[in-house]
Amino acid sequence: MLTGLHPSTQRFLEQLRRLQAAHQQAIDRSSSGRTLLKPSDAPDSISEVLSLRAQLQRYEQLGKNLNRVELENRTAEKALDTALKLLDRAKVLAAQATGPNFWDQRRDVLAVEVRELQRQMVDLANSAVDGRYIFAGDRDQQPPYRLNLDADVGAEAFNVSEATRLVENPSGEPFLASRTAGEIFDARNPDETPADSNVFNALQQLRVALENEDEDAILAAMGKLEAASKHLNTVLSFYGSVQNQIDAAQEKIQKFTVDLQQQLHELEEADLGEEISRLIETRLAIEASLKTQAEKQRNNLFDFLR
Amino acid sequence: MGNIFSALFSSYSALRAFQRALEVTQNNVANVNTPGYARQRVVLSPLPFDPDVGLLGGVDVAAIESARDQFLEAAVQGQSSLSYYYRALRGELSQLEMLFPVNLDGGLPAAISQLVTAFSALSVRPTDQAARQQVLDAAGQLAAAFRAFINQVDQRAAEAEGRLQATVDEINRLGARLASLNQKIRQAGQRNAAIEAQAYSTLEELAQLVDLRVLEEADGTFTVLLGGQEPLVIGEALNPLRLAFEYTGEDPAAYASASPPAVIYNSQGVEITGLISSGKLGGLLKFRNEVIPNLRGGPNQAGEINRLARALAERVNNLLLSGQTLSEPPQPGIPLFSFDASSDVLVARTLQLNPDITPELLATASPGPPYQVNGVALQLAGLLDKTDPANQIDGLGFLEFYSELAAGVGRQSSEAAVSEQIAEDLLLEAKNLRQQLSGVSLDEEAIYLIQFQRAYQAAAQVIRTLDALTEETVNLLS
Repeated sequence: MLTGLHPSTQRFLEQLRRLQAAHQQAIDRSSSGRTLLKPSDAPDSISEVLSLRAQLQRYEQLGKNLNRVELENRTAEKALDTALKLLDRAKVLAAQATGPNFWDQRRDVLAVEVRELQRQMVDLANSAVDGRYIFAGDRDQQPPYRLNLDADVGAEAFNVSEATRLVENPSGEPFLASRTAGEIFDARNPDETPADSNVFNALQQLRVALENEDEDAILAAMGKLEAASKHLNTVLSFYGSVQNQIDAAQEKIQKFTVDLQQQLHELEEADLGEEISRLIETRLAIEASLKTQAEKQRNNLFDFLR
Repeated sequence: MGNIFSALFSSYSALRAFQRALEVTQNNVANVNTPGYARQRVVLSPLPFDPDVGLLGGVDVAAIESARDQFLEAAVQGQSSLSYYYRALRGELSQLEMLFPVNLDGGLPAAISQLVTAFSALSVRPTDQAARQQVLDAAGQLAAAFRAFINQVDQRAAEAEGRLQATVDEINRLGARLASLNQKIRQAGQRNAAIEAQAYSTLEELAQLVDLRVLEEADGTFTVLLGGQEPLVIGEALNPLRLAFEYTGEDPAAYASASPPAVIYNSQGVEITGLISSGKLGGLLKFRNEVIPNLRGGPNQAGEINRLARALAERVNNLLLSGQTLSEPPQPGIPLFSFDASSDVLVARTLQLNPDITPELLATASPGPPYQVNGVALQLAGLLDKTDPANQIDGLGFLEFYSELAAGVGRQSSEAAVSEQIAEDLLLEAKNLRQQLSGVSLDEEAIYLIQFQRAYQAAAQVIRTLDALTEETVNLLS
């Protein structure tokens, strides 16, 4: 339908519409704080904005993943520290059992304490964080070992699997973050006999030697305890290096996040000062346009004819 | 030989002519705001004067001329078509682009990102049931996001189809009105200002809807050709248009299950869609037949959203199929997504979570060698890594592909808005020029009013004088 409006009036209305659209855009941008609200605002920036946001989300999740791994790592380090202390206690007991003024019945008492050390060591091998047994390898929903004093090393493998879980690394290859209980506490020779560094076996040998009051066996067990301690220290340094990798990865994530946020800010954040200026300008332009139109000369010659 | 009576007659002719001029001026003033009206002017012509041979002189109205300029009318019609083409296109595109979020607050990009995040969380806790269930939930949401997107595109298409039908109906209605006006012109034997105003007003309304070419016939009627070729109105006959949705290509459609395009038929059943390239109808046709199928698919294209859905689903499924579960004994992986693979155009609207999958059946482990308990989960966490060719469509990463889709619609919308502004400015210029040359100016009409009023008064004064002389003459004789 045609309106019959004079073209100059139509032009005024069209210009008014454009001013109002610009005014509304300034309102939208200043209230949202963004310049990119819909695709037509800046089509060439969409890909980069979405990519930056996706990367930010990814780094946020990577951060959470690393926090989780760090918790497990700290727990593992604490467990190994405690295990070392248990071995140190075992060495003290062994030393006591070989002293020249030692009474026989004390060896039975010492054997009982070593049994308790064995139980605690198995508990350490079964350390868990949020329901995940951190030394259980890939099958981490069940404890890897259970105490069995009749077994060759005093503990029985209940659920043993390899640890193949790799952790995402924001700036490099994924890394291995854990060792299995078998590797840490139940080291074996190729023929499956307990290695000298076998932690469980060192305690088992000491307990049996104490119960049998076999001084030579006690001395031999002391050697195994020493080897087991060295082995645990080596494992501890592995977890230390894992922690270093976690720290480096977290630092990288923090830096990347700051960089990405800065880039995102430059791409889509509205310059509030500019938008508010535009808001004021367009409002004034609208008011001036309306006022001008209202005061426009409306008379024609007919108004002056007598 | 002349006499007083012949002078009287001459003055009478002047009165009559000036009265007609005043009537024309009054008509112009009355129609100052009438759409389609062009000002009229009387053409005065002196009657032969030679008193010695009895030619009485005087003045007569030779013609009433219209100030209408055909070229200006054609310019306004052409610009109207262009302006309304971009207006229609911009209107549809500005609604369509709202379906494309440009952040990760919702919609497809958010769902894609959340699925990748869920896989990343799973990679660090591959045996955790909650993390597995989170992956299934995220996958379900992604499938729902694709289906919702396609449904919304369908809705936009349906709305455009409704507007297409309304536009075609309006074209036919205006065509019928013009045919009726042509009939009146023929019956009158000549065109008058009122019918002409209605006719041009109708033509201008038609030009907003479709690009047309107007021919003025010798009998004063109007012939309207769509796209410069296809007759819509010839004399009193209307050849109405018909809108249909069907595939009319020569070769069989590659995707028979896709929604067919909109086609326009003339009254003989011949398809004339290709002739319509402007006007509101042209803009709606471009949107419905080009923009929409590019997204959701058409008879000969899969649709970019379907391509994205398929590529993403197949990549995820293939990775899971290459893996194995953590059960004892381990089982080969099963797909996470299912969809109707019988036609590319059905992928996004049928995408869903595989109903057979459970958290335990997510095959996160890669069998190797070497075996890795979270190998597949890590690969899935890297889905948005576009450096891996397996995570690409047309050389773009999945999110990048979506971004280009959104950018494409955004660019089209932005360009249509700019073009609309330019066309609108040019239309207003053309209308302004037409108004200046053909429109009614009240100041000008006031001048003519004064002029003819004075002339009428002068002629009346002459008659009064002649009347007094006649009476004097008669008194002399009596």
